[in-house]
Amino acid sequence: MFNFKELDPRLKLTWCLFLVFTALVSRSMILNGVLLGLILVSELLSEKTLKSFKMLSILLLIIGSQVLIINLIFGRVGELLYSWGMLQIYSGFIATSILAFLRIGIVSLSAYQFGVHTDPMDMAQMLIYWRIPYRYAMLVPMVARFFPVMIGEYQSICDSQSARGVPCDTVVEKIRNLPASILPLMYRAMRISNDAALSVELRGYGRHASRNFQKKINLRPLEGMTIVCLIIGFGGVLIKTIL
Amino acid sequence: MQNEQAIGKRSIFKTDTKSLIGAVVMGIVFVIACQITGQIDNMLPWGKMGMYLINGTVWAFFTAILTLLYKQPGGLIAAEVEAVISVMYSPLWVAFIFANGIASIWVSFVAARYDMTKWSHHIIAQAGVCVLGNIIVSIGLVFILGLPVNVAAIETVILIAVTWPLATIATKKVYDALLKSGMVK
Repeated sequence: MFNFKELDPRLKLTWCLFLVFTALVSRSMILNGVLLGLILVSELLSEKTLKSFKMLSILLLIIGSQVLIINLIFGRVGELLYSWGMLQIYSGFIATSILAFLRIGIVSLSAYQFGVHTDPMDMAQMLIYWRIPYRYAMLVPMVARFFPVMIGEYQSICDSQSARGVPCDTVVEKIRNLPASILPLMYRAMRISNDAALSVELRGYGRHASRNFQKKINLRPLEGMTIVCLIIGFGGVLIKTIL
Repeated sequence: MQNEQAIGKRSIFKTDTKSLIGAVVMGIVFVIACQITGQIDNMLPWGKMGMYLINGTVWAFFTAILTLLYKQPGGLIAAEVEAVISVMYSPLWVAFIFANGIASIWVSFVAARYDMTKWSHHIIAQAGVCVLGNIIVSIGLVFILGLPVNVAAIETVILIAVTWPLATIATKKVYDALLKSGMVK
């Protein structure tokens, strides 16, 4: 079977963009359902589990329920089913909500799949391949490197503030103490970025026009053909929707 | 004197390594701030109706202040870091990519035209951030979340009305403090 991580990042990006744009262009519930199914099947084939989608799926269910309630109360598509004072429920709210739910599922899960299964170094190489100077392309791996560092810094600030009698547990406390947690984080971020900038400059960052990579990305003929097929497929959906 | 203190008012670009890496790290702080305020909004009544007032204010503040600090392409990098990482918690990431980019470019143009020492300069900068950004997000609300157009329009008007003044005050205060402290040179 295939492994999503081993594919070329350009193919993965095309797959992600194909799913996102097709979902946004198409108003067909069947097509959107098929696309969502394809994401889940490809993930199952590659990883043998859907565990990586668990947290995002819970979040999408919450957003989906909000969309359903808003469409139920304010939707004015279809026939009037029920009316009580200002509250009017129209028949179109179910179809609109299902389509919206499929769309947000495709848009979120496809991008998440691309992000989770693509190595930041591969993304940097992809950007370099598109003639973006490596000083800018290498910022992608830096984001991946510094994200857990900054999360750790934020946790330590929250712990320090709690110890000083400024807790961030309830909603009211979080709102009241937002500057007390964010401003120190900004100062720490500035300090870390200054240190990191000095460190990479001393290692010769940006000194040469290009740089080497231990593992190079390589687009195989089959992957190239798949990219062409995806572009043609999207063109077909676009033409069908316009006509 | 005030005009002399304002940083390179005619220049939009700043491409040194410190600015680029600073933008990346501050972009991550931007993400963390947006996630925290998003959670706060979700627990409040307006958040349940999709109006992220605190989150919107913090978003506008960070977009403007990071662009003023790091100029371009730093401001754009920080804004896009937030937009791309928002994949993890919002299906509106497609709209965020455009909203953040346009908002950051707007602030750059305002900062190139004015020295950002007066309230009016920050009001103009935040006008573009809040109005353009929220209009793009409202398009996302209609096309991605499938909300009725009138609901998206009302939500956008309320968001602009709340975030514009609050973000302007926050940006002006913090920018003045940064100038005074010498952190911005």
